[in-house]
Amino acid sequence: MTMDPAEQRDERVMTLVAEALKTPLDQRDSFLLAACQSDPDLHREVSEIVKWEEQMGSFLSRPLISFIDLDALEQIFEPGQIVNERFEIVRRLGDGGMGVVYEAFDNTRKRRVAIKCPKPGYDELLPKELSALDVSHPNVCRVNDLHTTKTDLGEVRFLTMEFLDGETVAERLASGKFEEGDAWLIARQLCSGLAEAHRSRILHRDLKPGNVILCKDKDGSLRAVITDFGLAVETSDVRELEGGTPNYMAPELWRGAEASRASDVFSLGVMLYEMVTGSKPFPALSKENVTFPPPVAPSKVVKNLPRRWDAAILPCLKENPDERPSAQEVYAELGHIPFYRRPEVLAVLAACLALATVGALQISERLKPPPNKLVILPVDAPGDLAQRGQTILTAAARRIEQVQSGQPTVSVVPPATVLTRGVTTPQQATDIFGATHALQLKLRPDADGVLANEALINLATHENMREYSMHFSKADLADRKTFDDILTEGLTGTVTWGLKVQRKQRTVKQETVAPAAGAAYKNGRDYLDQEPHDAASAIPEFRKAVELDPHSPLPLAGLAEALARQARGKGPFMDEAYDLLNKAEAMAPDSPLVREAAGVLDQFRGDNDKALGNFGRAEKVEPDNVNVWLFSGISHELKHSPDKKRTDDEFDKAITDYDQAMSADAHDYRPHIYLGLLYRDRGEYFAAEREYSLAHRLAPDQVDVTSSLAAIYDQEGRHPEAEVLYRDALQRKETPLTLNNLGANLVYQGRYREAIEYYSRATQLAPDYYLYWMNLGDAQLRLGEMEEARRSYQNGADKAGAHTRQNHNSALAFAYLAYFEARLGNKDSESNIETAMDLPGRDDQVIICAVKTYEALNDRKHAISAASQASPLTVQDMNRRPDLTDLSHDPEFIKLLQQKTAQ
Amino acid sequence: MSDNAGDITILLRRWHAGDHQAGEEIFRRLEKDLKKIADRCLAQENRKGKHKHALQRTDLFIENYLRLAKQNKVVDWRDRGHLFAISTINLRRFLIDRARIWPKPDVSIDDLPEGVLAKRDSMEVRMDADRLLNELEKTKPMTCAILVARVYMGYEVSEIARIFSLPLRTVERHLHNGRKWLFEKLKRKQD
Repeated sequence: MTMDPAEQRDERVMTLVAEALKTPLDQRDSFLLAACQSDPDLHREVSEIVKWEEQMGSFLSRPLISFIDLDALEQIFEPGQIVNERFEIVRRLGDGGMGVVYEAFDNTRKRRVAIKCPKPGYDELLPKELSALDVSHPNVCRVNDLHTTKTDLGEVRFLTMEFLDGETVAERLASGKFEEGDAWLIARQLCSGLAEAHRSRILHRDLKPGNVILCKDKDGSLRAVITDFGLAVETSDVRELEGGTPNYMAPELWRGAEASRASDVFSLGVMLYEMVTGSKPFPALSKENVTFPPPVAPSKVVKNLPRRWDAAILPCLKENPDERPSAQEVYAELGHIPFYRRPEVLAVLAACLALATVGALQISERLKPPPNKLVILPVDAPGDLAQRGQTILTAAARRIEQVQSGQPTVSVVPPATVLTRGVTTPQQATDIFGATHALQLKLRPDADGVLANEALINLATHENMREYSMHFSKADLADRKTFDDILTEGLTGTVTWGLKVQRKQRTVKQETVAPAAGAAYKNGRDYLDQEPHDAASAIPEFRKAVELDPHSPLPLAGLAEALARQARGKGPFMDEAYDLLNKAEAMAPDSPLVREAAGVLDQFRGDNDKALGNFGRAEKVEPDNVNVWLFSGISHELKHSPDKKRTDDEFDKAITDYDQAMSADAHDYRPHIYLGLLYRDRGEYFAAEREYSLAHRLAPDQVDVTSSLAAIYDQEGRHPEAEVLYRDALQRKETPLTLNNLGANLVYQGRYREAIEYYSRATQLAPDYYLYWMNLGDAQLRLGEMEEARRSYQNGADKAGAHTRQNHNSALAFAYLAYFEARLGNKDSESNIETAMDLPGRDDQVIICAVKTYEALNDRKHAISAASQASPLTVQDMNRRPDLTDLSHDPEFIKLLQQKTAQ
Repeated sequence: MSDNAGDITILLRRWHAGDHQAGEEIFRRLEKDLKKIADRCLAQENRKGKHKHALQRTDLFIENYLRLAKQNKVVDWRDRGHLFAISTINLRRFLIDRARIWPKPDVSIDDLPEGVLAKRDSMEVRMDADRLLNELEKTKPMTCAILVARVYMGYEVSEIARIFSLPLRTVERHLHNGRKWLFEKLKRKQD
């Protein structure tokens, strides 16, 4: 920069002023005289300024406002803050140039969510129409809702979306190209997600590795999720590129054309190219150099890469948008790539991801992250003591996690992790782990032994909340019990007292069973407390227990509950159940197990309010009892009916109850199953999937849990993944549910012949279950085996008919009966389906059955009218079902589908 | 930065001469820095947090644009620094008009020499300073803008130099002059 004369003068004068002011006061005059020797004007000018500065002191020399920190300004929410009385901010996850993302816990829906809000000034980035984001696909990040809240910065709008735990493709690319197998899996999923969005007429506009998150699926498979759909209003602009930012923008966008499906596909192509080769297809672009020479084929860059990759990727990179394939076509092309190493690669990748998310996994176990995060700093001790101290810290960490009751108050970063991350100071604990507290142990040997000093530090204030010293003699040191255990307990105490942790206290049961009857009673309970309940096996065990100990109310209550479950509320068993319950109540009316049994009986009688009263009493006495929370949740769910219009309220109460059940015992898989089922029935397949996955992890041996998880995959259209799970489950145990589900899975994949095999086996194992007959019949019909199909439908009609006579209120039984009759040409079908649709228990499953019935009756008008009453996701499911292909091509149905999707 | 101070000066001249395209080009090039000025003002404004309708940086940006466009007819732009100086003043004025409470920084009494402070409380000093700034703006707009940028917006001296395209020592001189002027006026009022 060239300076004008005035500026040159300023330079001279002010430089001298600065130097003079640095000189001690008594030497200033002589300094100035010496410096301006030859220039009296300069001397006068400088001296005057210096004099004024001396007189003014610090007057207005610093900003008057207390330091403006623009970064702090961009902190829209703070961890711990509860937004809109609902979203509890857990931590800041990341920073896009224009928005901030937080992890939060949704206290209403009891789930982790991600919150995305624009930085001040970027509000226009939020979409105006939320429906545009409503793409429902496992490989597209699900956006829940748009909210508004008031903050110090004024009104802030934010989006809540599915919480994704994992790393971005960009982060993975930092360590080089992907294994081919991983790349293939991710590529297929990305194409699938993008294709779905394009089908819904939504463009991404800014697809790049930073916008794809790789999450682990708890069963070890991988899920790639595209985020920020439709949010990118300003595509990466030209100026950004001057800094060498890699870009994924299509050539036509550089020339000012509008974004299109083809420009998304171009971005996809660049990303896939980078994933398989580790390098970019085009030379670095800059403002001056925007050229797209034909890229080198991936198979030429990477040895042994199948040529098929070239066929999938290169067309996406065509300069002319019209020549690029659709995402769907890329998906299909990728399908041709022979790929044999899948399971192996899956396992490896899952392991990598698991490592990255250890901390997160521990949290999601309990779902709600605790409010405090504790880092146990490495022990400060010399030599041998250091190692021993570290062992004690590890034990203390475990102990602190163990003693907590209910919702945990504090989560502990494992000391080993702290060591490997090289964290040694409280400040690092905050910076690296985002911890709220740190625990520090110092061991100082002296002449007589060791002085131990422990301190709990509040990282927000840097105050020692608790400090505690203790001296151990040499004899103490030699004894593991004294030294290690006392220190472990001491550290645990320091933390639990300091953070007011609620410690576990097992409720003492008021009643017991005589030892002689104990084994039988326990067996009975175990049969009942599994999912699904095995009442038939429980009954003889409880009978035995009652016989052996007739004076305890517990076996009586257990038997009453088992009988009620077996009888499903009807018949002589039910009468016996009431008798037994009366006896048990006479002995111990307040026993939680007696109240539980009473509640279950109420439930079967259909009196859910009374049942809730009973469960409530049991919950008070024994809050750790998982059963009562579960059953109380069920009662809330049963209370819900479409006509009573209290849907969400009761559902929310049920969710709260299941959450309580999880708190009561974090290792019980059943609450997750119940919650998963609830979500599934509401068509929230992602939430359901998460719950089933958690259940699957807690109880990997429960094959029906595995099957349920797989069933959700089926709902999401991920049939090959589901098939793997089913086959795995079947190898462990053959259950009718799994057999049936695998059959359905094969039907989805068009493999009817194989499906029939599994369906038949399911009907053999559970001949009373009419659903299996329907599936078998449908598959046979599809293959043209009329006679066999007819036999299956007849069997189904018999079973469903029997059920409707037993229970006049079962909408599902009526619906199935109607379907079978339709297939068999029985004219009662129509009146039965009307009955089913009018019953209060009508849910989406009944609606699907009704639609199928009307289709079988060739009554398209009623089929569509029935379908219109289903939830949007169910309608989407109908659209995919192989047994409703005709319907899904009907223009009326397509219209309905569009309406529902827009909802 | 891709914009060259000379280019901007030429563009400013063209804009003043009625070339609208040149005006747009100026804003495209200087958008980042102009938005930064808006951010600083917002930081001040929103810090108070009491406003029902907090401003967005876009509001300020547009407000500034409109004012500059109007001023373009009467102001013969010297250079990029001139434009920024006017922008700073525009926004300050806008915020004062809007709330009549700006600037209201956390004035620390410790910072004020006794001669200036005398028997007045910091609130009074603040009000006086505010009035005097309006006066300074009329006589020495650049000095005023630089003082506002430093004292009321919290910019580092080096940042001011970059944004206003001025040498560091020149900015220091402006700051000195501005402070001296204000100091003298406040003192005279006291005497």
